[in-house]
Amino acid sequence: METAPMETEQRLVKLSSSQGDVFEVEFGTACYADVVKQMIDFTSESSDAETIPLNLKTTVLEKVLQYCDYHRDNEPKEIPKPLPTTNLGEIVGDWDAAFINVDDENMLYELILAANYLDIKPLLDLACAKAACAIKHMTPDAIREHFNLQPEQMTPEEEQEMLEELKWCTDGGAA
Amino acid sequence: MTNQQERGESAASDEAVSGATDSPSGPRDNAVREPPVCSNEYENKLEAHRLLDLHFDQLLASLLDDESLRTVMKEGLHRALREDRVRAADVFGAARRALGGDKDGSDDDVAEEGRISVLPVPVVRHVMTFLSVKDILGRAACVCRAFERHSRATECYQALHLDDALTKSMSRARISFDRFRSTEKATISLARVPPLQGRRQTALKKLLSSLPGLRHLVLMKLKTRHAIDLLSTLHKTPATAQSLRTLKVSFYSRPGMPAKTVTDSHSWPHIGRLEELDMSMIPPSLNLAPVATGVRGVRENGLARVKLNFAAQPLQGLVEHVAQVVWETSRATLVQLHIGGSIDKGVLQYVLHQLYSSPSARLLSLDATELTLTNMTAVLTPPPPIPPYDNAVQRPPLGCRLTAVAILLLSRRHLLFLLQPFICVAPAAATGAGGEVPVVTVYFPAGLESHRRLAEAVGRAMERIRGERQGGLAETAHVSSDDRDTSQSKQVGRFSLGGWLWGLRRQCRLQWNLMTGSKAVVFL
Repeated sequence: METAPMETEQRLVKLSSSQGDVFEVEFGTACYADVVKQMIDFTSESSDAETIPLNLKTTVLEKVLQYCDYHRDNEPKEIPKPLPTTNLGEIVGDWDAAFINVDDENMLYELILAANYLDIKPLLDLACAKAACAIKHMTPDAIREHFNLQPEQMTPEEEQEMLEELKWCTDGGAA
Repeated sequence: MTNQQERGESAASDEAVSGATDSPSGPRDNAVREPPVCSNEYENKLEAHRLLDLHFDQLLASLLDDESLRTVMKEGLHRALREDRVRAADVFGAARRALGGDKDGSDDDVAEEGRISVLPVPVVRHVMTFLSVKDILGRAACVCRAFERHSRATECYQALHLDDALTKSMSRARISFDRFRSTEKATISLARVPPLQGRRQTALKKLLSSLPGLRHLVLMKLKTRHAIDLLSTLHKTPATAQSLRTLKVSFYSRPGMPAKTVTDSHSWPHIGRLEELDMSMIPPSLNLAPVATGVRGVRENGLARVKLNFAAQPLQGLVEHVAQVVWETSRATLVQLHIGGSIDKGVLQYVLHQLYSSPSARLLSLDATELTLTNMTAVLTPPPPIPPYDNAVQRPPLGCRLTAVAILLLSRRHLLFLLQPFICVAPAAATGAGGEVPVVTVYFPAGLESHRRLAEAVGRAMERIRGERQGGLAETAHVSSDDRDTSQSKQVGRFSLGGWLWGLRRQCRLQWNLMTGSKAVVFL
C-alpha cells in the first residue's frame, strides 16, 4: 500500500449514518472502504468539509469504523474455504473473533450488508464466515428458518429426490 | 473516531434488508442480474453508484474508446445521482438493457428465485462458500431449489473437497456431477479408501470427467496403489487432464513401512498445460519413470515449478528416475525446483548433475530448504563432470546463466557440495544471460558463517561467475533487515565473508540478510 503524505493521513473525514449521526474519522480509516474512498474523491473536488452520508445505522457504522480503524494497520488474515473449524478464533485471531462475536444476529447480517455495500472484502469474509459457522450443522429446515426463506421452496417430492441424489455425501460419515 | 452528535434512536432492526447486491467475491457475479428491490431509496442510490463503478466501462466500452472521456462521464453520472438529477432506477434499467441480460436466462432465474428476506441471494451464496461441499450438498442444497440451481454456476462448488469418507461413499449411489462443472479445485483424500477399482473407480472417473474447468487437483494420503489408479483414471479423462495447471500429490506414509518397488507400469496422464507439480512424501517404492515421461509432454512455457519431497531415501535403482524427472522438467521452463525430504547424497548428486547441465534458461530458484542428506561421507566426491553442452542448442550450462539460485544448507558440507558446480564448471561466454545480474542466494545456519573454507568456497564461486560476467554487474550493496536480525547480518559481513564480499561488491549485487530463527541468509 502506498504511503500517503502526512497531511492526507491526518486529514479527518466526516461520515454520517442514516440516522444523522456524524463520525469524524481519520482519512486512512475511512478509505479502508473502497466505496467511501471513491466518495471522498468525488467530494474533495467540491468541498473538503462535506459530510459523506452512508446508509448505515449508527450502530452498524460505528462497528464498521471500528473494524476499519483496527485493520488499516493490521492486515487481516485470509480465511480459508471451506472453514477448517467453526472456532473462528483459531482462523482469524482473537481480535477479529471477538469483533464478530455479536450477540444480535441482525447485527451480523447488517455487518454483512454493510461490508458488501462499502466493498470491505475482509469484513465481508469475516462476517460471512461467522454466518457460515452458525448454519454449518443446521438441517435444511433450520437453514430455511434461519434465513427466513419463503419462496421457491422445494416440494417434498423434489426434496426427496435431491436427498436421494445426495445420499452419498450425507451418509459419508464424519467430514 | 468521535461521534459528534447525539445518536438518534435505533431504527427498527427487524427491517427487511432484502436487496440486490453484487457479491464482491468476483466478477462472476453479475450485479445487473439482481433487480434493485431495496425499499430504501438511498440504498438504491448507493447501489446505483456501485453499479456504475462496476459496469460503466462495460456499458460504454463499445461507444467510447477514450478512457478519459469515459471517466469524465462516469464522474458526471455519479454527481448527477448524488444531486438527484438521475434516478437510480434509470441507471439500473440502462445497465440491464446495455448488458443485455444473461444468455442463460438469468432474468427468469431472478424471477423464480424470488428473494431471501434476510440476505440477498448473492450474499447467502458467499456465506455458503465457507462451508464444505458436504455441508452444501447435504444441507444447503436442499434448502431452496432456486439456490441449488443458482449455485451450480457459482463459486459454491469451485472448491470440491472429498474427505476419506466422501471418497469412500462416492461410488454407492447414482451421482450427478453436473453441479461441479464450475469446480476449479478438487481435493481428494484417500487415506482409508480401498483400491480404486470397479464401481469406485468408475465413480471417480465420472467425477473427473465432469470437471472440465478443473485447474488444481490435490490428491492426499495416497497409497502407491491409489496413485497408479488415479493417474490411470486421469489419463482416461484427457479433457480434465488438459485443463490442469497444478497437480499436488501427497502420499500416505507410515513409519517403518516396508519399502517395495512398484513395478506396475502405469501411464502418466498427458497434462500438457501443467505449471506446477508438487509430489510430497514420495515413498521409495514409487516408480518415477512415468513422471519423467509425462513431464516431457508439457508444452513450452508450461511447467515452471517442481517440488519433490521424499518420505524416505529412494532406492538406488530409482536415482536415475529422479534425475530424469529433473532433467525433463528443467528442459522445459522450470523456474523453481524444490527438493526435500530424506535423500541420499548420491541421488542429489545425480539431480544436481542433471540440473547444472540442463539447457534451462529460466531456473531462478533451487530450494533445498527441507532437504536432509543421508549417507554423507567424510570426503565429498565432486559431482560428475559436466558434459559439454549441446552446441546445437547453443546454450551454455546452467551455472553461468542463473539469475538466482537459492540453496538452503544444513551444514558446511552441503554448501561445499552444492557450490561445487559453480566452482568447477567453467561457464562459457555469458550468452543468453540477457545482461542480468546473477544473484546467488545461500542459506546456512548461524555459526558457520565464519568458517574460512566456506568463505573461500563462496568467494571462488563468485569470482568464477564474476569473471564470466565481464563486468556487467550492478554496483549496489545494501543490507536488508526487514524483520530479521540486522546485528547478526553485520556480523556475517564483518567477520566472515566480509573480506571476500567486500572485494566483490563493486562487481556483484550484494545483499546480506538473515532469516528468522537460526538460519542466516547471505545474498551475494
